[in-house]
Amino acid sequence: MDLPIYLTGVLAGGALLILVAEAVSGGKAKKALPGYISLGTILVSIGLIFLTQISPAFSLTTSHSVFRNDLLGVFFSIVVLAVSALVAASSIDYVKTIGNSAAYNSLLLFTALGMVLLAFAADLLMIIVAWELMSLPTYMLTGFRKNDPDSTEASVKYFILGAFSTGVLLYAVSLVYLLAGSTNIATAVLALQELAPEFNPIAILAVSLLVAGFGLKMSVVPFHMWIPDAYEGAPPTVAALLSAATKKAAFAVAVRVFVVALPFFQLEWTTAFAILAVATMTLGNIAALTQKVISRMLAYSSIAQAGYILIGLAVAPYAQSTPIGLIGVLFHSFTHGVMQATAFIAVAAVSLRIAKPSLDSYNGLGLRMPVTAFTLTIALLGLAGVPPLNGFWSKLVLFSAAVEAGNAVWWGGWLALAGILNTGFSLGYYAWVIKRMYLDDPEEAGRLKESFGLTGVLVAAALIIIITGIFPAPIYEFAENASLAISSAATAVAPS
Amino acid sequence: MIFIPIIGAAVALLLGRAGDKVVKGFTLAVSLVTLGIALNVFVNILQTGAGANYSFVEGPISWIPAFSGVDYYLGVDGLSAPLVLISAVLTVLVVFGSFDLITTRIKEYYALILIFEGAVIGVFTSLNLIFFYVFWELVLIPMFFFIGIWGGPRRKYAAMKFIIFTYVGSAIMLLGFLGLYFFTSPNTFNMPDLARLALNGGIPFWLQGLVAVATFVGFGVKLPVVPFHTWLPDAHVEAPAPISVFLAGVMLKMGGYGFLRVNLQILPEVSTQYAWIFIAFGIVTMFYGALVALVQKDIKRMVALTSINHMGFVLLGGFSGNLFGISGAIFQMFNHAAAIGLLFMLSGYIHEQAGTRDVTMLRGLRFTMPRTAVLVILGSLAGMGAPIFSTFISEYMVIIGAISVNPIYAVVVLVPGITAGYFMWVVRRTVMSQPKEELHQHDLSRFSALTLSVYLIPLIILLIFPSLLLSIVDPLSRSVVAALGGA
Repeated sequence: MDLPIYLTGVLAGGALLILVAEAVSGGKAKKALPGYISLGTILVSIGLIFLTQISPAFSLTTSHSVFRNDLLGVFFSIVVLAVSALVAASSIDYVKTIGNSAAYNSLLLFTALGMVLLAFAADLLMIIVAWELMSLPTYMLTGFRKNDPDSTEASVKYFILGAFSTGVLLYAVSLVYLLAGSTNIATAVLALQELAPEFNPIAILAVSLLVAGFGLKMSVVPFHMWIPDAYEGAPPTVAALLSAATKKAAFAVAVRVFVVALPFFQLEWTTAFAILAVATMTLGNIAALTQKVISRMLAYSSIAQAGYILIGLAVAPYAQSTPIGLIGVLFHSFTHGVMQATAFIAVAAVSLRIAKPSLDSYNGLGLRMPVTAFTLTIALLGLAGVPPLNGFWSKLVLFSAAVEAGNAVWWGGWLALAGILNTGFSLGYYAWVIKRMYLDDPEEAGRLKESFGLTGVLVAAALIIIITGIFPAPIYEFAENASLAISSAATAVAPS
Repeated sequence: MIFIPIIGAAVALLLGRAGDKVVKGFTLAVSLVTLGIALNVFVNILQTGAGANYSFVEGPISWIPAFSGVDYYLGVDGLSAPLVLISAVLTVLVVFGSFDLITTRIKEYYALILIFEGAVIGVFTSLNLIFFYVFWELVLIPMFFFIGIWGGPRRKYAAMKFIIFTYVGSAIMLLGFLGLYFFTSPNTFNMPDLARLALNGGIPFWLQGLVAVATFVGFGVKLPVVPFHTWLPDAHVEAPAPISVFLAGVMLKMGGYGFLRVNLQILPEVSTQYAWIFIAFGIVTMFYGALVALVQKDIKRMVALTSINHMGFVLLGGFSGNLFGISGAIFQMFNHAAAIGLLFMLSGYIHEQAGTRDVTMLRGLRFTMPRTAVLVILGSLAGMGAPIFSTFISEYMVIIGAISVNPIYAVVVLVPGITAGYFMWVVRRTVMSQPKEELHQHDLSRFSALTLSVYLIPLIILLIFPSLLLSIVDPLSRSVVAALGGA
């Protein structure tokens, strides 16, 4: 369990260093310095993850610690740190327009720390702590444009619902403690197996509350209301962080808690998750079709994508030879994280040049900001699942998992059909933006300057999307190993 | 063969700074090299007579080792060789045809042409369903931009309609592929393995039925079959003329190829027992295409609907399930590509020169545009299946194939009649009439007339020596028929 500790040191140290440097220099240091420090810190953390030895797979007998240093945690922390790195790198240019980059970057690092701890946490109490560490800085980041009423409104709305979700989670955890006498996931699950049947309603209540609490961050319908407002009001780089990183951290916890704990109530919860998945993706896609502001559209698209990931969670127990549903969850978390971050960073690049970007201001962007428009196109096509981009492969795995689950449950094939149809419709609004950028005439002519830093980040991200699209095998295998780590634990407790 | 054009596309984009001429010349060179390879493959199969089996097989090399079944797997047989050849030929001709007609965003245009060519050849040569699907979707992206950027007045509408229609269709098709993968054992996406499995009864009938519904949507949108055809007239009319050639000459063939490859080889039982459903759709498509074409005033729209009608022949021939029908269907796809290519290019040139494509406005082409007039007559003859071109043979073969299944299908002989009717009407109105005084028109350049005539060369050669193509196609059809009979 060394890795999470090291990472805590590095990330928190970086965050504090930024503040100290700012205080010492009295604001005279180079404006971009905090940005470089936070980017460097995140890159060092990623390096650390690769260097550290991984401890063996999560198993119920040996896991009494607060953290579990397994591949699942490593996978998700790489995803969230990679997204954080993209956000930090793009913020170097973006934050110049807002000011106070020291506070911004140190909050960003604290969020990253919270997400990483969440990915490794194996104790419900630790999960709550990490959850708060991740959430609190994002409330502030959302309201970072403090002179903009939209930003403040978004922040308040997000904060109230976020606080509510924390409360719900705490209540759920106390119920679990009541039933199991422990907050450690492994111990609790083992204890729950011997639970007397008359306590079942309480157990189900606890699980429902966990779903509601995590669902708020996972942007699952019906807990999605805050998302469009928050993403619209927040600076686009922060929206990238929210949708591409914190959401994935929430999925990491969901995988760790639900996949291990829920085989206990198998039938009820998979069907419930399947219904949630269909509702989430359908509502997200339909709502996205009607949006007039690109960040709201991306917000709804991000809700829809959460629905696809839920497919993987719902069918996870029905996998036969390989845990294909879980692989899909992990794989899509990675691909969606990169694509969604790219899209929002492109939006940030546009909003640097055009003050109040509505969808109309994207007309003719292909001529005005060619690199930004091209990378945004790649990201949107990837989100729509067009091969050979990486979004295609992860969706393929998710839908395959659903089709395979058709062997075990009647709704498997229908779930896949719903997902496929949703993917088809989603191209409607993604292609609409592409159409505006390349086919429509711009409102005002003239090429806009593209910031060098942001362009570099965008190109790098687009390259990741393309390269992992053409060579998906390494990430697929990584996701498979990480899934095996957790699913072996799940089968160990599954009622036979 | 796939990767030469795709890499070429990247190079063409980079060459953009060096000037438009460099880009054009480079694109032409790449497409000629590809044509050379395609021709070499074709001739090789012709000489060895190995049409029934896959030649030039590459792979299977595992793409995602942990996800077994997703392989890099390529090969060419009697079905794909003619289609690869005609795609390569059309690409060269389209590049020639674009020199005059495309004047904006040159480097993007030619880069997209090469991506398109690579993707299409990928579709025709992939032997793995997922690999196939990747290329199938890759075709959409360049086409979306072709229609949307270089198209006519309603191009944006047409481009969006096109991409949403075809994307939803192919997504459903993908679901069918996944079903095929998970409910058969061993799990595989490789077409030859699946075909072998089908032959041994390894694919249960209910699964074949479900997959057939899914692929019917996917392939049917592309072909197009009548309830899914509405994107086609818009896309074809709004696309610039060279791209209409691609759409009609190459993209529709993807649908036909899919039906012949997947439905006939992998889903044989459904394809024989429920053949009448597919045939009925084919016949409705033929009549619909022909009758609606009859009332069109816009030449290009008429040609677009003609290709719906011609593609109905493919469906009819393929599902008649006998040697004549299947060979005829493949032959028809080849011929249609050449004939329809000529007609679309002509409509593009007429529009360019005369400023209108309205049949009622065009008068006296034989005086004002004599070279065009000659080509219009020849193209119309090819389109209606007159016995001076090989389109006659292929339509004849399909009809024989259909009649030998059930004499009622003889009703389709009416279709070439209707087709001949509207082509004749067009020829009479535009070529044979007296010109209006005020319309001063310019004829095609000699060079353009020459490139347009190239479209007719394969049609004439194959009229006289149909065995050049059929000796490749027949062994394949024979093995397909044997498999269908055995199922």
